[in-house]
Amino acid sequence: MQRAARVFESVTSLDRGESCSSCWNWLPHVHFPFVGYCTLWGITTFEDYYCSSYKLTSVDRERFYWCATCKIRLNREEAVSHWIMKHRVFRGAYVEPDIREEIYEG
Amino acid sequence: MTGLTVDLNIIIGGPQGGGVESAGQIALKVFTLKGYNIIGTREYHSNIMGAHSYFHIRVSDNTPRALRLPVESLVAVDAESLLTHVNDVAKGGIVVYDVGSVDQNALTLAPMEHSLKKRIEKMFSERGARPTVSEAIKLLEERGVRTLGLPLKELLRKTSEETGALLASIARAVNIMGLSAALHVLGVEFPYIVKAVEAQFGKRPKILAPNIAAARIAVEYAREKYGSGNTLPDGPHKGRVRMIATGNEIVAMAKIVGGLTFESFYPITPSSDEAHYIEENKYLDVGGDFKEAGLDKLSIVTLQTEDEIAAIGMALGAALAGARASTTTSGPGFSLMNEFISMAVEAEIPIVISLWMRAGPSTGIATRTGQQDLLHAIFSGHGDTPKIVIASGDHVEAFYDTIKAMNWAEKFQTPVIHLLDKYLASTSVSLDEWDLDPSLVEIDRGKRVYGPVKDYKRYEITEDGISPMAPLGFNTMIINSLEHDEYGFVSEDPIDREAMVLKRVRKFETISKSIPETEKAVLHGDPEARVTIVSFGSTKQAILSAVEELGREGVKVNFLQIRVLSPFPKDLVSKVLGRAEKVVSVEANATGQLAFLVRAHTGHSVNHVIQKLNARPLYDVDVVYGVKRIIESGVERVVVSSGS
Amino acid sequence: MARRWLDYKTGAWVQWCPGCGDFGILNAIYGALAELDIDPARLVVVGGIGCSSRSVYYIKGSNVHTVHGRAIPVASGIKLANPELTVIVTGGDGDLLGIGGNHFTALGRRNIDIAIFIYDNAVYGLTKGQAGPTLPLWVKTKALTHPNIQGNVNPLLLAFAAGYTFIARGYAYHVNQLRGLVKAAILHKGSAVVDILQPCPTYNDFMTQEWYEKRIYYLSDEDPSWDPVIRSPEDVKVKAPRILEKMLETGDRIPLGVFLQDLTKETMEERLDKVMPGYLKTPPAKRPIDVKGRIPLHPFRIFKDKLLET
Repeated sequence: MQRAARVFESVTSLDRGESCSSCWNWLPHVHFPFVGYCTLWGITTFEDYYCSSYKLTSVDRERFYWCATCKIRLNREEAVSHWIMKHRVFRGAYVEPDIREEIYEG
Repeated sequence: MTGLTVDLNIIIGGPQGGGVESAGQIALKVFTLKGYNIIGTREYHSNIMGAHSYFHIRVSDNTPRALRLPVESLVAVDAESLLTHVNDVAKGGIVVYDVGSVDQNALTLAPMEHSLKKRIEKMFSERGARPTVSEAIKLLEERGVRTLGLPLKELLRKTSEETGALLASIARAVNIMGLSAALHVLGVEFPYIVKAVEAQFGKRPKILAPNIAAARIAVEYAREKYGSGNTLPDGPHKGRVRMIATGNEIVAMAKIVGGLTFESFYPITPSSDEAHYIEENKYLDVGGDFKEAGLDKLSIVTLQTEDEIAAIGMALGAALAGARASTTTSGPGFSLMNEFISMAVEAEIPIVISLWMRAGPSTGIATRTGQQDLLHAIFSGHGDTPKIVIASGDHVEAFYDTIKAMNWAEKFQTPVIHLLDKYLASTSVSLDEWDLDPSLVEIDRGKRVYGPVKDYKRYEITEDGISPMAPLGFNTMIINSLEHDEYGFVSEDPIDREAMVLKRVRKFETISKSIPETEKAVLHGDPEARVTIVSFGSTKQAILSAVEELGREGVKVNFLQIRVLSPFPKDLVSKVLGRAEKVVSVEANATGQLAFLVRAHTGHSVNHVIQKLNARPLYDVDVVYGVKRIIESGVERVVVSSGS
Repeated sequence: MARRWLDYKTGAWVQWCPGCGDFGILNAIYGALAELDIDPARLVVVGGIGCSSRSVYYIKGSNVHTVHGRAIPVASGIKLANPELTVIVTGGDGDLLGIGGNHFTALGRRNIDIAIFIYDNAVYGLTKGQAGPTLPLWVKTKALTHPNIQGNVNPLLLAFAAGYTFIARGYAYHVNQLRGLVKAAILHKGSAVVDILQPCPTYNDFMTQEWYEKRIYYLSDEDPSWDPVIRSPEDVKVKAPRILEKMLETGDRIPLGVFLQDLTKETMEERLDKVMPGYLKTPPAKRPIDVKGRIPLHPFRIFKDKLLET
């Protein structure tokens, strides 16, 4: 059994939105935000996965955030305003470990 | 053998850092494995991640000379790629996109440049539509373009679940899916895709397996949706070992085999990748090749300096000590090198400067191409500072020119500026063993003297202007940036001064005489054609392709390629231009630098210019359009604007 | 047969002004070279531009007169291409710390085995006495129309921060002591700098011979136990505070002597030989690049990462 399937179940059919895509522990992929990285379990998951450790994300803390809608890093004040505009705000973004190989000198 | 000519053009787009590079490299490998010739270039923003970048490929059973627009296939795994290139796809072509992106609107795409958003918005509003991916798909379908929407998220999920792998390289898998689906539609058999992915990631099994699975799942999906059409026949170039390399890499290779022992550089786009490739190969196991010289390892000192001034200064020092030395840079760095170039002329020091031109002025567009440094190169350095300036038209020329430049630098004890550009730097081509044959070139270090010489005169007055050069460490002497006597001792004496100026003048005449006119300029095509295109550098292949195309349409045009810009081949150029009714210069600068040079040296006016100013590569369609426009209207200047 | 100082003197007319401190420095260098018995053909003196950089004409060697501020990069290229040569740089404070400051800093990071001699008179001589980078704030020499409104750099602290492994200060007219410092700097394996204080009698009427001689003293005279040699990483922690304190001492008392000699850092040449064993045996200047004029290499045999079997 794969680890992802053991830990998560897909909750595509639920409409409560309690899935990775709104979880504090989850960082969406910097380019393809339908997939991301769970900092709790240390694995990549899809946005509609769910587990019992789900924790609703927020912009309450004084820290930096990531807006997946605008693809930009935000300070808290900015994060609040993006949150109000219903942007997809996360506590960070997932950058692949080998991304360097895909980047050009510029 | 097939009787058919294959000419496939593909764009793979995505965010910088989003897997486009791997997909592009895999595509180049797929078609090379299939037996075709390829050319492929990277176009990207000056950005680490997020901004739009794309890989543009041309595949042909002949030698594809230049990139072509429109393309037969667009792989657009994100909305920005689809919307950016919506007008780049030919009728009958195939566009692969992500069905998850259909609702995305150009105006909300964060990294997209404002002006492009506005253009896209205008284009769609004229159709009464919003600038969304779904509208773009509709538009493409109306134009007779086939579209294939991939449910990327679901396919990626399937890949993940089937392989049980943690998807560490998501971006790559996404791009490989898009590419594989397109390749299936284009008739490429799956085993070729597997082979290419293996060649790309072969040494890393953890990355390899999920990527092959991703490719298979995408191909299965495409087959289900699209069925299987005709298989693309194998090309004529099968059954041998071939090379795929960029211009940066080719120049690095030429420096290494051509005897470079020292390169100092300061990071600057688009030259750094050349230095990196040398660095990667700075300690080479050469086994038996150098046995006669008693070496089994070749070492090259490569050093990143504090700035470009130090980069050229160190290379000059190394050259004085006897090393075969070079530096590599682009316009802004070259500006900093000017004072040392002047010193290299005065003190007669061999040095090769690879000048990878990019779009200026100033920082301009660091990651885009241009030909704006021609006059800067020729007139670099204060004082009377003639030097050799050579421009390469393509990868093969760049290879031989690099070795030639190193020979000339040492033989004539002079700076040699090798003009290249961003387009060549980041363009890959397929090559055969015979394309790069160093045995055709000899190593020539000129009048070198090793060991003590009685009464050694570093700047001995000679008839050909070239003095015997002893590396430092054998004789007491002075290498001097100040005017000097024959020993190198500083001298302001009027007789000494005049003699040294005239010695350097004679040396430049010797250089001019030693390099045959036919090596300085090449006339391609029918000598009797009434229109002559004159150009230099990386425009070569696009022009050659355009000349053929125009010929097929009954427009007779020939092409005078200036290879050595200094010393200028004035006799040959005069002769050729004297016969032409219309002379058209093609250059990627706004001031008509080549036209200026031709007029200055030959007195022949260049009455027409085709200029590429948008910092994108020159396409053959640009040249065809420009020449026709000039012939039809007699207009003096045509600005050609293709490219995204 | 050992060489004498005269073996390093060229026949050139030394064009410095009477009373110039450069003469003292030149004599110290002659003496040090003679004591080290260095073959002039194997000695490379690299100069920038300025009065002091003209030493390349007065010292017998296989010398290079470069452009303003750029002696260090040229010297670095020479040394890395042929580490067997003895390479020294002569230049003024304006040349090495003003226009050439970037290179001065970079050399410290590299620790190439080169000795830098700063002829430090705090003014630009050849261009008529403008303020040099070591001229203190508010000093008005007679050559300046107004007092200097720019502060001065401390060459020793700059060298320390940059990572030079031999840092000393000398005085131009103490030829014997200076000879010792020059000799130690040349002998030192790594980047060495000697900041040599000197009056410019023509343009600097503030920092005169009398001014200097009232202030200077030798570290080892004041403290016979003075030991600036770093033999282990622990030594740095123990000795650095005292070294920095002495480097910071300015004004009424100006210490001279060796402030730091760090024996723990490998030279750039050693680093290169570590990365490319055999580099020292066949450095860039000496490595064969052909076999009887032919290139015995083919890219297809070397750059296998770029090959594809079709």
